[in-house]
Amino acid sequence: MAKEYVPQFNTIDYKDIETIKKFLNPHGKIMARRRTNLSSHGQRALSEAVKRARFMALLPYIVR
Amino acid sequence: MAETSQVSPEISSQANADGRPVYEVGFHLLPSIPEEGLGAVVEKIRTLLGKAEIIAEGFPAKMTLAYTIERAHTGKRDKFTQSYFGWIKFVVEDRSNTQALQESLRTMPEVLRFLVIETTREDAKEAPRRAVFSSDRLEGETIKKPVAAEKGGEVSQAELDKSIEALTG
Repeated sequence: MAKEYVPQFNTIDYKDIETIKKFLNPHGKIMARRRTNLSSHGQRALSEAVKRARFMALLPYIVR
Repeated sequence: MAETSQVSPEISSQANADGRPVYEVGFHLLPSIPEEGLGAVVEKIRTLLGKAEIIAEGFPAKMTLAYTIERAHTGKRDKFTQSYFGWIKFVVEDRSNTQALQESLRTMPEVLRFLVIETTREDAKEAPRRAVFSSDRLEGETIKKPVAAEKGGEVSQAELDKSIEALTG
């Protein structure tokens, strides 16, 4: 029976680009919760971190 | 351009046992500043923090921006594709001080962009992450159709022979 790895975190640093990139698709969009397997709290933390990173030009808003 | 946001009070109260809020200012400095002049600019930002206790710091390092930042300066629109990115994490006594900090940073010509956020004392990168395995689910397994019991009935030998003959012609 396959066991699934579920990453758990309550805070995520907007400067931690390597971690954030794992949860973005090739277009730079945030993956859905059913794909990230994060808790609702973790998904919100991720979303906040991505938006901060985009504002600070650490991540692009769009990737063509 | 600046953005201020707060993490949930639940997180901050857990992380900051002494009750004092922890803030972090991240900033981009102009790429035209010479390397030796960076220290002076950082010192200028430190003085803006006033009495705040600095708990962690990332010295500005040159980086390529994810997109071009445009800034109107003295009637001319400047485009930047590189900058020096640095950050300072600090503890304040009074939350209202951060408003003054933001106003000061906005007027600094060396600062291209900045972000002031409320954060936690420990580094989020260093914080241990819990590996949780979901409960035993039937994921990936094909659900099989229940096999219905074959209905077997008695067939007489004569009927069987007749049907075989019909098949063979």
